[in-house]
Amino acid sequence: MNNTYAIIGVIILFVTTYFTRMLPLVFCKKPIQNTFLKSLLAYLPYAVLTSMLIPEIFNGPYGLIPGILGFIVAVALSYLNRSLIVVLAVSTVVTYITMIFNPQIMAMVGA
Amino acid sequence: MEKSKSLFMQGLKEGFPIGMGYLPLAFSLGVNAATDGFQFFTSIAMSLFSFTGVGQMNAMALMLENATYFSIFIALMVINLRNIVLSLSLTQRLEENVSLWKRLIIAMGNTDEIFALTIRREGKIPADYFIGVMTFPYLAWSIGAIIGNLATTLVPRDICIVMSMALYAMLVAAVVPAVKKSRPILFVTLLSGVLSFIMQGVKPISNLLISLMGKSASSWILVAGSVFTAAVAACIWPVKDSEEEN
Repeated sequence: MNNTYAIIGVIILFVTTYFTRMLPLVFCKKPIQNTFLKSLLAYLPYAVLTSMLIPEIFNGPYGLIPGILGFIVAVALSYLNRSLIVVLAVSTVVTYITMIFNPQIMAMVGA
Repeated sequence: MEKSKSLFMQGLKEGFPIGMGYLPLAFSLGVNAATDGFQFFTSIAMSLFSFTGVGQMNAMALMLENATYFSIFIALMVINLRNIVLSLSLTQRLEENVSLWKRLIIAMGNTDEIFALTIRREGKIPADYFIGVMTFPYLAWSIGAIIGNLATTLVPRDICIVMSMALYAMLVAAVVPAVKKSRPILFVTLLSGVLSFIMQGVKPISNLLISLMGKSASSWILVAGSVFTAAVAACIWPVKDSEEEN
């Protein structure tokens, strides 16, 4: 790849990533008084995070069934107020184990 | 002084799992960059300056296709629209009187996962705590990228694959406790989950949307769907005082 082209690409990536994060933090310091905007901002992160999760968590490189199991385990453990490290570790291990045995699971389901 | 140091240390400890999740991600991005023909220092600069997995993956894919600078810029702007939303929410949750320098540092580290972790905290978020949280993930991100560029076979492929689940679980762990405590957030989560599933998970619909809006369709859908869902919730359940935001 042409290095000048790559460097300009890297600069574009930096500008779009950093400025979208930095401008609101630097220029919107005052607490928002408008009730609608305040409510919108209180709810938006959860809508964004959920839209990032679904359906991507099921389409991961580990496969559909490991993805579904990892998701269920993560939801259940978070619901039971387990610590973050437990949620991450157990859901990842469950995904890993089902991923290894995935061909067998698929055969059992009959797919 | 003592207080800010202990907040930093607390953040450092809590940020550790995110770093462990980022390490293989940065590593596999580094491997990809090296095999795609990026020069070593260009690839390292990309990781050091852009603390984003989604953005970097898309930027590399676009550059491989020899996309024009303009189309790279537009695509990355769309992908990064959600950063504006997350940073706007963070400014409202951040403690007051945070210096400009600290705000510039925090902006570097407001990734999806770090944001998801820090909003789990009750009340206002101290700047030193946030900087503590982002420190180890940023180091892991940089080191992972360097190792990935140098040694393309060091980490087993299975580990790289399965660690993407750890990053998703991070987002789950941010959403579920809030859903438990608040009915409006339960509504927001269910509605945006269903909308996102229909528009991105159901093949005929997602293919139609991609043919209408191009490759960044999913980023547009993500932002538009989220704003719609949150706006509906904001109309039904307006937040009265700052306490209820959590």
